[in-house]
Amino acid sequence: MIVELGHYSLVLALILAILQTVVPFVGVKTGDDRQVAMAPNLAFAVFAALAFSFTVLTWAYVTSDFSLLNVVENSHSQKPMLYKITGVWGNHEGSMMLWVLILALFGALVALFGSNLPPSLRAMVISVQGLIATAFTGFILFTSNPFERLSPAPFEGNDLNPILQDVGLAIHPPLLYLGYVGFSICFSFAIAALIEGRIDAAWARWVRPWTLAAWIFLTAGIAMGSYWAYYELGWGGWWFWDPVENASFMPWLAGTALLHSALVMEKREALKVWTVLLAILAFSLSLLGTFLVRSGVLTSVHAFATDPTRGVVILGILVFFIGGALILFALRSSSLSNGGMFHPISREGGLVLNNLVLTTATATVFVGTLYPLAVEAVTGEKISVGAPYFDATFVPLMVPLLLAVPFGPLLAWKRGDIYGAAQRLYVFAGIALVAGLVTLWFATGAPVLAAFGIAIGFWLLFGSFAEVWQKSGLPKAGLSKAAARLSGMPRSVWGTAFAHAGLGVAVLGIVSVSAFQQERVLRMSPGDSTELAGYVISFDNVEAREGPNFTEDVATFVVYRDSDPIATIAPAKRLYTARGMPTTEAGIHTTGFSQVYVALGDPVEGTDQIVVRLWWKPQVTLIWLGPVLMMIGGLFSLSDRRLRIGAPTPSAKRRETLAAAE
Amino acid sequence: MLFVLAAASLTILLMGFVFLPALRGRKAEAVADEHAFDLTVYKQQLRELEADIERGAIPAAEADYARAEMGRRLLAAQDAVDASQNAAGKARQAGAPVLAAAAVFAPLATILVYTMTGSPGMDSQPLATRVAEMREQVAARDLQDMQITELVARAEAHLNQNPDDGRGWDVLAPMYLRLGRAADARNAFERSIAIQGESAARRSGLGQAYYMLAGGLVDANARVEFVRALEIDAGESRARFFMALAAAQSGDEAGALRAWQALVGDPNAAPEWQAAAAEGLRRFGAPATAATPGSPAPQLDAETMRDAEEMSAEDRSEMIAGMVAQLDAKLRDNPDDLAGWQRLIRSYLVLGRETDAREALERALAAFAQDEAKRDAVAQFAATLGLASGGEGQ
Repeated sequence: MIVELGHYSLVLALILAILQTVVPFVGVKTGDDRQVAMAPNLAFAVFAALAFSFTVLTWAYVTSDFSLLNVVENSHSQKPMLYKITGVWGNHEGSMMLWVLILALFGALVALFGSNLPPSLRAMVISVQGLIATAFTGFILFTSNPFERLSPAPFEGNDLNPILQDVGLAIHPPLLYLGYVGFSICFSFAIAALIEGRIDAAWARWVRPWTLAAWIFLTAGIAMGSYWAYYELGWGGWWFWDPVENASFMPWLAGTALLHSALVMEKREALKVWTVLLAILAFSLSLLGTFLVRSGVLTSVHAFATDPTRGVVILGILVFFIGGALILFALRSSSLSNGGMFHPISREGGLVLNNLVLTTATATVFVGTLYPLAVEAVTGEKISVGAPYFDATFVPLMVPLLLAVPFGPLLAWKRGDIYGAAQRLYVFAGIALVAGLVTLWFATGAPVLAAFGIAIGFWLLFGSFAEVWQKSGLPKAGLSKAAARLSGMPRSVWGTAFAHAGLGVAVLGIVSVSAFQQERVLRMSPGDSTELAGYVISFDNVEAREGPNFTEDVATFVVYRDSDPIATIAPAKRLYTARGMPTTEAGIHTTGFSQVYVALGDPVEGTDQIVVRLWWKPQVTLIWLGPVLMMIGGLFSLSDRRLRIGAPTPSAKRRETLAAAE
Repeated sequence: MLFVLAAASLTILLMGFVFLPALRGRKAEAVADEHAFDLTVYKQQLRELEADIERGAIPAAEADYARAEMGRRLLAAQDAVDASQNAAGKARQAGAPVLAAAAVFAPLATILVYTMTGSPGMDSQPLATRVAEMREQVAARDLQDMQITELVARAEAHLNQNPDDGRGWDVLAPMYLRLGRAADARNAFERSIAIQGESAARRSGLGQAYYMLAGGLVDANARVEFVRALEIDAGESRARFFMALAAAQSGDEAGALRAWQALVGDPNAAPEWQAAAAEGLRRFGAPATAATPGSPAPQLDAETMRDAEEMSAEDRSEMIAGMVAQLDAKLRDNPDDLAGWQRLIRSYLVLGRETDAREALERALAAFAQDEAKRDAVAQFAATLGLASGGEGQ
């Protein structure tokens, strides 16, 4: 009964989402306060219904209820409990459930924390949010229903794709979706503002914390996904410019631009067109990502063409929301008044540059992701646009921006002084130059580009703190006075510094790994050893083990430095019995920021040799520590109390009129 | 019924919550004017600016610009507040019909969509519960079997005294079949034939006994009996069923399907074997019309369908028994197979042969005496199926 109740609750959520769309909208349009006041409760109710439904689905997975087709297809009674739970969203239907659950969660959060919003704006935002929820809940119910039953029920399921049987699945998709779907709030704010015709500094201030929260989650989700791919796929790569990765990267780029653009709008009421457009774009790109991943169009355009139901429905949803939003934008954008004026060299000017570069970069990734699909659809030829394309387009595009980042916070609003800023930055430029030269010195024959990259990394890392340094008054002011000044500084200043420094840290990691990593592929027998980047790595033995739902061959490698053993690495090859599918578990040893990475290949027929791939990854962890710093920066900004504005109390006069109206 | 009640309460609960603000009077909903929210933001921005100026974070010239700009925004917002307050006071309650429509629409639409997509009344089936239920059913069947066993015991006692009572053997033989005592059934049929001479029913019964002895395979012995039965009576249903099964087992599925189709369509055939044939057709997955193009699928009446369920369950469990026996034998030869042991233990439990399951568990534990990981895996697996290992303490 409980399973059917979950299904019923999902249907109820759909119907309530329709009410959530219609009632607040009609309320605002006809000026009926009661309907406007229902908006928050509708958002809560939809969330409650979806949360119950999702819990029931999870319960079905936990108890191995094989009367659900979805459970049969993606679970197994012997799967460890963690993967029974994470398996809920390790498949199409369940991940769409998580998607709408998070969508509804954001709707409920706006209802909960939106008391500082004008009621009509809040009602409009909730209404648009309801429209998105209606579309996707309907999509789930009618094309991808996870509650489809099976009778008679089999006694065993097909198990979850082994690559997904990892803690990564517990963290990555929820974070990514919190980011993806978080931008739906910005989208809803933009649509509501366009409908209501009120786009001003106050609007930007209300939308900024939501943008920031979504951006933090998306940053975390992408970084987590990158690390997961790095250790699970066993190829030693951390970013593949794969369409699925690009699908999450594009909203991130647009979201980063939005974050900065909203700042200008809040302070100066300028860049309105930019901000609204970016808010629409960020979520549109999230929808596009959902379409790419969920329609199956990526596996093969032709596979998509043979069973297009789901894809076509998502495409319809995509066209409706993006097209509708852009049409609305086109109709209303002419009425947007120009905000504050500014000189090209100014904080605003810097942020316009930022917007330009980031949107161009987004477009670059967009083309690189969709062009192969278009070619395949038209000519039937499968082409691959891989790293070379992105290295040649995306990377050069970003370099000027990276160089410009430290200038931004030092420029004044309205009219900036670039020479003044440069003067304050020359110390940091010096540090970066030295770092670049040192790189050239130590890694003799290192490519000049690598030294340049390292210099950029240090430039960002230290230059980002220029504003903090300057405001502290050091070294003239003395320590105690500086400390007092620093602690009195708004947290958003710290946020900016950390986020930009995080970018520098990530750049350092990326350049270091790309330029200095060492790779060896060789056949090894137990007892063999090899040399890699100053370490001696010896292959001790291979041992067969039995896991709960897999068997594995675990190899033991010992890492020696100066003939002292410093670490043991145990890479493995697993065979998941239910699907007969092999996976590679990389063995990783971290020293400092660097890693020794070992992956097992296939055994060589007729010998005791195994193909072994060894990598030395210098400073690789910086690639993910950078985003962690960015998130810390984001959290600093989010916790700045300046982003929290109290709700106004009703004026005495208004209360009187209300009382008179009773 | 319980489901309807639960679904109704869920609907009422959520709908009530949603409509609460509309039902509540407007008194509690006194909200500040829309534009007052803007005012709050701009006032706050101005305060922040003053704080920045005080800290010396902004140069004086810039500060003046910023202050002037914010002042303009503040004034504009203040004007908007004043304007709307002069206009306030109009009662705005136009939407009662919308609310009523929504309140009616929501539950009806939910019920409509749910009946389209859901399976109302279908129970949840957690694996643990299913295994438990399966064992209960088996226990119930055991009870029935016990009653038959008692009958059998009486018949056996009678035949001990009067071994030449042919009709006694005729009664006893099918009971042996029912109890799965294939060897005894064979003896009984042979005695009956020896005393009373052969008949189509006795020959086909003997064939079924051979079929069971072979672990669910229509082997040469069984086939001889069925052929003989059909020589005596070409319409004998059981023999026709098993000959078709034999064809299926030797790879001639088309032939099997044709024969079963004919059996199902034969008004003179015994209903229980028609049902078995229908089950065979279903199992081998051919559409019922494949064998006889143009003719509609045979319609079975309710009773036959019920028989089919029973028959097929028996038939199926026999087949499974054969497969399980094979697996059991394989594991005796090659005991280092964790997945195999798990399958065997579960199979025995599903078949209700708890003693065998327990014995298999002990054997598995013994086989993995040297391998703690696998031994734990087996013990834990058995525990999840509700089968405690008694081996540790003994």
